[in-house]
Amino acid sequence: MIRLLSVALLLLTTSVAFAQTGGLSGMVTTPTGQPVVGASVSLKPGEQATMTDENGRYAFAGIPFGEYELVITSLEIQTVEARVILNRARLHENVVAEPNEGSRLEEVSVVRNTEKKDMETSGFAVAVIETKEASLRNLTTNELLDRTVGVRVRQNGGIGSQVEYNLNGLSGSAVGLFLDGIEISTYGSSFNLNNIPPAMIERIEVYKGVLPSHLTGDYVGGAINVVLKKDASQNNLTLATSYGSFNTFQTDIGATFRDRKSGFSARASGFYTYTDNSFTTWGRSTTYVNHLQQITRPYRAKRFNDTYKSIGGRFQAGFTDVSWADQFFIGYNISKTYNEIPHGTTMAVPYVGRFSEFQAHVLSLNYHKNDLLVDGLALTVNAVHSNRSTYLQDTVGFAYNWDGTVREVIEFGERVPLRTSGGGQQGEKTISQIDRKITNVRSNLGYTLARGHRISLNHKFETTDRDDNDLLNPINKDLVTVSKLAKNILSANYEAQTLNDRLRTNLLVKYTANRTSTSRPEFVTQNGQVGILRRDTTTFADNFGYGATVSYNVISKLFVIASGENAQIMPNERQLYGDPEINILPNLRLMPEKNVNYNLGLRWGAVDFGKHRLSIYGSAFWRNGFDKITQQVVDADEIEEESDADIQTTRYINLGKTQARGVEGEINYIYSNRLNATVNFSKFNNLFKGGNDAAGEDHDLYNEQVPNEPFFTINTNIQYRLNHVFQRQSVMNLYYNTGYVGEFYIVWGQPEWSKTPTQFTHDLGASYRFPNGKLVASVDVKNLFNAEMYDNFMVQKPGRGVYFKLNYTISKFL
Amino acid sequence: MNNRLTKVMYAAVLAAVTLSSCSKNDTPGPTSPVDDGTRWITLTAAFPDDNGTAGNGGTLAYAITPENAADPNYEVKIFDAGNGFSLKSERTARVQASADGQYLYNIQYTGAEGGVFNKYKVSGEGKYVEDGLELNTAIILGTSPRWTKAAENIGVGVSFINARDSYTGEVPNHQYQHPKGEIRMANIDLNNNAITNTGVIEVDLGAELEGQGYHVWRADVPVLNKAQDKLFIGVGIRRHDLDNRELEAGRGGALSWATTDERDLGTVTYVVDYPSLRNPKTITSTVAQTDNLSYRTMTQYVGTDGHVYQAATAMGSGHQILRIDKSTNEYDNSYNFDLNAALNINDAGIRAFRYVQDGIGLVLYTRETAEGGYLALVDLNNHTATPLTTDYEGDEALATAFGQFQNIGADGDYIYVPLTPTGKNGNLYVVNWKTKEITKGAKLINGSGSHYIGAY
Repeated sequence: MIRLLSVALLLLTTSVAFAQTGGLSGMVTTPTGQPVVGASVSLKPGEQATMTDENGRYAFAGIPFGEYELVITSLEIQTVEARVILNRARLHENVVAEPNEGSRLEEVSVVRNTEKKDMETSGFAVAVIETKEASLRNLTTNELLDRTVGVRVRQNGGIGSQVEYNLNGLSGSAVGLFLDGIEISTYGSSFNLNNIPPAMIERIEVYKGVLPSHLTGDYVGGAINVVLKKDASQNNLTLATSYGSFNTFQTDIGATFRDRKSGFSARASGFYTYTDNSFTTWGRSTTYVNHLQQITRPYRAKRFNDTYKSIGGRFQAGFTDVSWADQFFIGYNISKTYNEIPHGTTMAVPYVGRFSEFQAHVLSLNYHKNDLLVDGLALTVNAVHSNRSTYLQDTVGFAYNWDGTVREVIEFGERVPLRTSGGGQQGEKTISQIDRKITNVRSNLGYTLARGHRISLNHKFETTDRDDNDLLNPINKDLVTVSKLAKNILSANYEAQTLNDRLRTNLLVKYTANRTSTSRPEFVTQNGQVGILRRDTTTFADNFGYGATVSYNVISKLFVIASGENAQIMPNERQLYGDPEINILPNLRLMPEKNVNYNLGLRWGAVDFGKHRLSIYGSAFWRNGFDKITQQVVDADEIEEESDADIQTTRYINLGKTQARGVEGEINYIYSNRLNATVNFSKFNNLFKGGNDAAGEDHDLYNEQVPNEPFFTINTNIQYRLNHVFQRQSVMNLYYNTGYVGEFYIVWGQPEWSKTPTQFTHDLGASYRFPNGKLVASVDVKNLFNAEMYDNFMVQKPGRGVYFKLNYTISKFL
Repeated sequence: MNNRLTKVMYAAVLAAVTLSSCSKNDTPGPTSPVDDGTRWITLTAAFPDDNGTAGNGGTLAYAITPENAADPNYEVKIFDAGNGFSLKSERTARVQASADGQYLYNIQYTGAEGGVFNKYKVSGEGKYVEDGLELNTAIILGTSPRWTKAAENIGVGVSFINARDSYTGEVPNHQYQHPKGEIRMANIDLNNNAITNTGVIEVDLGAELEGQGYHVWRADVPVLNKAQDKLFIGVGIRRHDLDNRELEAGRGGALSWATTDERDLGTVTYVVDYPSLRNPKTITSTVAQTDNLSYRTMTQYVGTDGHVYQAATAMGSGHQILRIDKSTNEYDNSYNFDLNAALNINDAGIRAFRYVQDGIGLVLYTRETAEGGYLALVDLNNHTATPLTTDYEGDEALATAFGQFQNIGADGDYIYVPLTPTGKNGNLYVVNWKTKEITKGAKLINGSGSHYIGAY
């Protein structure tokens, strides 16, 4: 029945595409590259008109999607009339115009390249997600990512629960998470992809494998770079609010202001998220345990102790397009989160009263200038300093059942409430706070040697000061081992466009240097009196990596892209020192991970056949990891004290050798600006290639699939646009999305009992833009058929949910 | 009066358990399904974890007939896909079995369901069917529980918890604080799959011993006496060096009081009443000073004569077998079985011990001065031992396998010992304990980093 319905839905949904309004911008130059200043640029039909600035740039915003004639006139040039189809959030349209020397109009070439397209054909294995559409709907940034080719978002439950990103089989620390090129962890656990609304985001870049130099770091699996909105070319105010299942309330607000004369710009945005995550689970992970400790499963229960509350604001002020800077912003970012922790790594035992609070104050500086001092020299600096803290409390000493009642036990012959062993929900009773001060600076100096040849130099510096406090049993700080990690990464790359711009190559080198200073207390006995001496040790580790990307435009619209790298990654602070808030123990013996990666892919399109437009992408990847850093449940036997051994805690280990080989692909079909359908898939074998035993034989698990990681996913997204529904000039979009995750096992050897079953979900959505263009209303039904969804260690995810959202935009309010 | 009330309560609990079991037709209990009378011998084997630690990954089970067991031409390929049954447990399973080999009992050791008890009906080869309800012991015993079959149909799990920090105050004015701690216990009804009683011992070694820095760090190998009214729990003892005021960094950097290996205290066993789990007290041997802790195997048994025989050994550190008297429930300090003396050597360390019948037992031992792992039949009444020669005894990889050995099988006149040096093929050895003959039985095909760890 469900299958039938879904097929019907698939057939029914015939289209959707783009909605609403977009921005059009570009540069007008002469064939020699000289900007055309002060040209009049107008759009027909409509009455929009503007002038090019001193760099030849022009921009329009808030233009309804559709077909236009772009008309550029100036005394300097011959009039240009170019046809543009605005069908995306931001369209970049560069125009080359002939100087007005003679009187004849000879040739006009219109070069169209969106930022998305430009990046995706650059040679890197990259997917660019535009968020404009999603920001009007009830979609979280994580959901958006999860639908992207080759990306699997692994979340331990509902909104706010711990997230890990898997890019083609690589996950954890191998994957970098950036916010405008700065590690997102700098912003604290209170400002992350769980709560940053798509409305604050310009686009998300997902790099698989090789990273461009402005994102270099200790990452070999790739990176997710969230580019926040920067455009301040017009004044506007947006407001959005949504409410839905599990008492989920989300709202965000954004405003931009620019004074054209002085170039002074300001942006402010904020968000608030609240959810009870009170969804029902009914899979085999949900249990009821009676007083004889007998387990009933599956059991049907509503989750509790899972409230997530997050509030944040981001304020930026500065100048754009002034003589001394293309962009200069000073920013302040504040965020606070309250997060109840409903269970440990698994759902075996529900928690009551375990929660954490995060807070972060972040100051940032962004500077960008092209043609600094000399032509062709560009400088970009992103600097962030944050003060973040994490508070964790767990002081409830009774064990609970999934129905929310206290478990019982027979103790000394009497039926009594079941006490936990350590006085907390997860072992020992705990109240702790960790404060971190992080400075993270990334600078990029680029120089265009000649047209099509560019070198750039990148430097990244990061240092973390960490202060752990046990608030329940305050300890003497004199006896605490203090560690500090400073990281410098220097990278350089050389980009070239040759063979008539058909070949784009990029060579990258990277040098990483980590300095860890540890101050450890030592005891000395003098004259029978014990004193403390601190022994400071500094360890230094460095490594060198290199990589290259190639993109070749074989025939029109067909690109072959390839990339490869050989790199090492150092363990990060969390991996080395652990993180109690998410149950991770320290492991100071971690070694760097070494990786050799290759990607080879094709991009074709978009190609138009009348009203049909098609684009196809496919890529194969081969990743070899050595001493791979993987999160693993803590092993009890090497620990003598059994009380330390607990499934609820994990730590990072070097997992020998792994190999992931696989393919991913995506087909996008657009019909007449009405229907937009995308299907993508990713399938890979992530195999254990680990070491030899004492006898020199291959490890017994050799070539087995690494457990607890999904390795086959398919996503389908269909959007259909209807005009003039109910009212003239209105636009209605219908959305249908399916997600498929193939079965996988959570332990080695793939025994039947550890199987996470195949998952298949359907989501439906609709948005409606009222004729005035200011108000957009949307409704989304997620997991329409209430399918059983799982992730890490069989933690069940939400069933069906219904969400409503209203967006309101005021443009040009000043 | 009080005693009577307690008994009534237990009766009520048992009745409740039985009733709740009977009301579900999927809970067979002892009167369960058909069997054709075959005495299946279950073999278990452990494969490595992804760190490469031998035998630490998970556990497979495979049941063969006594005929196959005795046949050296019969091959057991437990690791071949589809052969061995994967017992639920992320790490090496801690398996116990009924005396007739018909049921396996396991508490999952770590993993998503760490601490969950499962019972399996043995139906030959890789056919194991889960039987009855699962039990969640995790809160009481942790997710990596130490438990044993303390008597037929009765399991007991123990867990040492809540030790205090070993010092208070700020350095240099810090003071010693005795860690104390608690032992949590759970009685498991293996017939009806239920935890019928739990209890807590507040560890107290007495002011004198505690004042010398002696403290408990682990509890293990619970066994019931013949009358089933006393429970004996082995404990691990360590000693803080009270003369040394320099704290030592332990795991994770936390500081604790320095310890010393100097020990002037005999083997300690905790005794509580069963099934009430009340009235804890310690008994201390005067003939041995090694802890009676096991690692993954059981080391204390009720003998045919009703006394408890206890191998005082932790990970091969001891060579004595002690006796706890059936009438006093105290150590019989006039009794001391010394494996070294019986074998006329001086470096034996007992790795596994099984009391079979009539004073005869089997030990697996390693030696300090020789590589490999060895077998001997011991006569606990006559203080003699008979070494049993195997093909693999000089192989150091067999010592590695001994480190994780779980169970020596016994049925009738025969003892079954699977011997596989880690990562190498081996054999199931069959010992006739009456004639003291050892014969090579079924061939055991092994996997890399793996070993066979038990026969049931």
